[in-house]
Amino acid sequence: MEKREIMDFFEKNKSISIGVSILLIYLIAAIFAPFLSPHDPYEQDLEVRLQGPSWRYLFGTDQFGRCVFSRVLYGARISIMIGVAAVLFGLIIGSGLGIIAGYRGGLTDLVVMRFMDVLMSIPALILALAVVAALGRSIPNMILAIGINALPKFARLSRSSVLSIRTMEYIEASEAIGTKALDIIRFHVLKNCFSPLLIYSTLYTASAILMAAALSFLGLGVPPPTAEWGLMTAEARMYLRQAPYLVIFPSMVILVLVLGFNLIGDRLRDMLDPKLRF
Amino acid sequence: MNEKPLLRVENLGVNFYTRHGVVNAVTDTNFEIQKNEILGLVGESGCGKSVTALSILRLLLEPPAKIMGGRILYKGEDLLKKAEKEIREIRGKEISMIFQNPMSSLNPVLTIGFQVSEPIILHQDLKDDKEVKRRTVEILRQMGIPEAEKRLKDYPHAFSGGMRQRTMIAMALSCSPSLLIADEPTTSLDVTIQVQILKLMRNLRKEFGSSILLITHDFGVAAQLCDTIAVMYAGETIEYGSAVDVLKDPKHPYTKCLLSSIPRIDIEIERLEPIKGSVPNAMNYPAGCRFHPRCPYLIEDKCPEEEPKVTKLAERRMVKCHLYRR
Amino acid sequence: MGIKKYVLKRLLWFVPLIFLVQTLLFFLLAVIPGDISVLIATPNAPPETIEALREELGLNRPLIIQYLDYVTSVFRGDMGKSFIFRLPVSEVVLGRLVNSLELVTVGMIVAVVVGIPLGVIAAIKKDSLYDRSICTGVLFGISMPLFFIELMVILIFGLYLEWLPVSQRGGPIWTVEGLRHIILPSLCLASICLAMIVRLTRSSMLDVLSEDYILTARSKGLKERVVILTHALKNAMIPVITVIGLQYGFLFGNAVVTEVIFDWPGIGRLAYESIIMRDFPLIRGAVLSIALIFIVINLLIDLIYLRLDPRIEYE
Repeated sequence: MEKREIMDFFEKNKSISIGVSILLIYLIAAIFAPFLSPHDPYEQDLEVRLQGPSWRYLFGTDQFGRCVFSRVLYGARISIMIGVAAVLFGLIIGSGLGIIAGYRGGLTDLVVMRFMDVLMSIPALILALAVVAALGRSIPNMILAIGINALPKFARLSRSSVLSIRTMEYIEASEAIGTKALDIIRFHVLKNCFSPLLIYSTLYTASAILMAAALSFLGLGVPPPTAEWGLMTAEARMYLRQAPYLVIFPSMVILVLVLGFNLIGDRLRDMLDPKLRF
Repeated sequence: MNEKPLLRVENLGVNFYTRHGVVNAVTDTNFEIQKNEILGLVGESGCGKSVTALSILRLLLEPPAKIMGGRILYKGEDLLKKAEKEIREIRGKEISMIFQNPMSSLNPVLTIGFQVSEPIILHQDLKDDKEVKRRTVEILRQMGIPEAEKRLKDYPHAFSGGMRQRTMIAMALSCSPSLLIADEPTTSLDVTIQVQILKLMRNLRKEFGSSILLITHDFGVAAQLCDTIAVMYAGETIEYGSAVDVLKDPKHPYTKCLLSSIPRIDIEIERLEPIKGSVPNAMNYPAGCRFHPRCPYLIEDKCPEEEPKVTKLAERRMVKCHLYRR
Repeated sequence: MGIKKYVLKRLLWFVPLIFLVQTLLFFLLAVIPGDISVLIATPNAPPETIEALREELGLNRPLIIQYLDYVTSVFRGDMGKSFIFRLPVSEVVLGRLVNSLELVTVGMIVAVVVGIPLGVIAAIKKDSLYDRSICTGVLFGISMPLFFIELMVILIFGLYLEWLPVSQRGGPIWTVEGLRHIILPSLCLASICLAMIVRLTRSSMLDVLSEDYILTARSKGLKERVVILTHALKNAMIPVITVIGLQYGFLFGNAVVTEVIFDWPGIGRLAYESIIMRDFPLIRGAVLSIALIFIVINLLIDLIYLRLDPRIEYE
């Protein structure tokens, strides 16, 4: 696509433009955090503790005198990483299971889908809590805990894609001439479920970031003193009255990032598949 | 026969404003219907006939639609100038409409009885439930629904296609309207059911005294049912006359081509002649006569330049073509 | 398949589902490193006490027996004794469960009562200022972290304005104190659910309004208000109702945060605290109850949906 076409596209689709801009800003913040932060996010200086926003400390300081702005920048790394990794986990494993279930049918299908039923019977945050509780507080475990909640939806999407294609004659024809199952999957199935998977991935990244923040807020996410937005909010809770900015800044950055993903996901959904409205 | 017509459409124009551009759905449509008359509005898909029909009852959503001009005279009064409240009183009572797809035109979560009795309750101001029920059953029975009383509690999906269309017609006729607008009423039905419905509609005139505006793309259907025919092309009425005249002696090249492209069992035809080219894009009509790129009777220096004016060939016979210019 | 068969199938699946959920829990709890009895015993306890504890908890039995006992015990009404509370888990769980149901249900009702009309308005006045502001509000609503909304609400209504209490439950909902205490937490919970309901109602309504039968209704001369309320709304509600069951689970999950922030004595907070405290019987009891409620509600919603849509009977 030419540059002109791309520019036109963004002009006509304001919400995607805003969403992508937001993502880019956060990505830059995450990648270049070490260069962009004015201070070390872990450095404590009790003499400047609980100071409001100033030129020196753009977002103020917390109860340990740490620079909130720097911590927020570093927090972007964690949230983006967890969000994206969790979605990838859900996407790859979930769709994989769904495709296998749809293709094989029979007992495999039954087992996989019943497993998904079980996962769906426990509300998301609670399941995530249980997983982190069982496995311990760490980023990989958070990714697993959040990713596991995405499995059922991804599995369903890809499975129904497979099922709807299976009965089509061109698959039978394809099989008849000996095309390997894997190739059939690659060409037809993935092409068919590409849009819903893309849309859901974008939207689930938004949920994943929110869930990661909630887990950390509850103390079952990243271990302190990691600079993570949810954890920062939790630590700021007791200073709510005297230093509300400590709660506001980390929460607002979560809001904006999630908003970005939702804007993109919504627009994608409107463009590609209006039926998938929830 | 100089009575005032029941309905008279004059110079109707309707545009649609979409984000892709302006669609000239209807540009210059003229026809009239007398009392007790069946007029067929015939044309290909996309020629603007449905839009014309919807305009009569002001059922188009504005935006994106906009009525650009013209008059729609019903019993002498211009419907386009009436207030919303007045139009609502006409809908379902004086002028009713039935649509192409009876399955999707009936509300799936409301019973047949409810839907058919709605216009009765609304327009006839009846307080008595029993009377409403009686009339509902009566009209359904008249339309050929067996065991109508038992079926009042049924939902639309319990009915077959033909029965649904009969229900639609019952709903439309429940208040004895003077005019029934039927938009492709048989198109989505099986051929055998089509015949039944057409027969039903033929009798409506006798039993209810209603005029019918039949919209169809099928000359065969028009031939069976209509007294007069108006042919539409690219948003304009290009020919109008009695059914016999139009079918036996078509004047406009488009009508001629259409009729000769229909297989006939009464004469031997060597080959069917489709009309060359395709229907023009409603956002970008050709200059001059809209049919000229496809016309086998093209007049080189006239048709691509000048838009043809209406030529009145007889009292109720008109055509819009340069071939007949006086 | 007919309704009866479908309902039967769903009910039959209920029991195995409970088994499987517990299996998952058992598996998760088994993965926790360390000997459970060592973890819960007081520090520096002599080996005999630990051994006695092991016997009491049945940890010396083969794993498969432990598992079978675990999954069947719930049907006997016995879920063990809580370590922290020293009471049967079922007792502890029950009261808390009711409190959470109260909180979540109130939140849900508010979300539905406010959300559906908003969604309908947004659909009817599509692209107007009303619609755009509602949609923007919805977008922010689903993007905002729940704890943020709640902390801000506490800050403004509890700390600055001091209008309403911000912690604990004040009593049954029909009492003044009860009402005062439930308002803030339930409204916060409602806000995230509200956004989704508005959005779904709006899009469902837009779909319905473009259907042929709406045109038919208008052509009969019905007032627009009647068209919307009688003809459109019922159809539009069908997909919304099906989602309400899922929303319930979503709210229950998020209620953990709400209950922690507002110090609400609910099952979400119980699950959370028992997880932190490693009170395994209680963890199992709490999580299982939540799952049970969720499953039951979804089943009920499915049954309601079957009644709502007349087309289903004939499939």
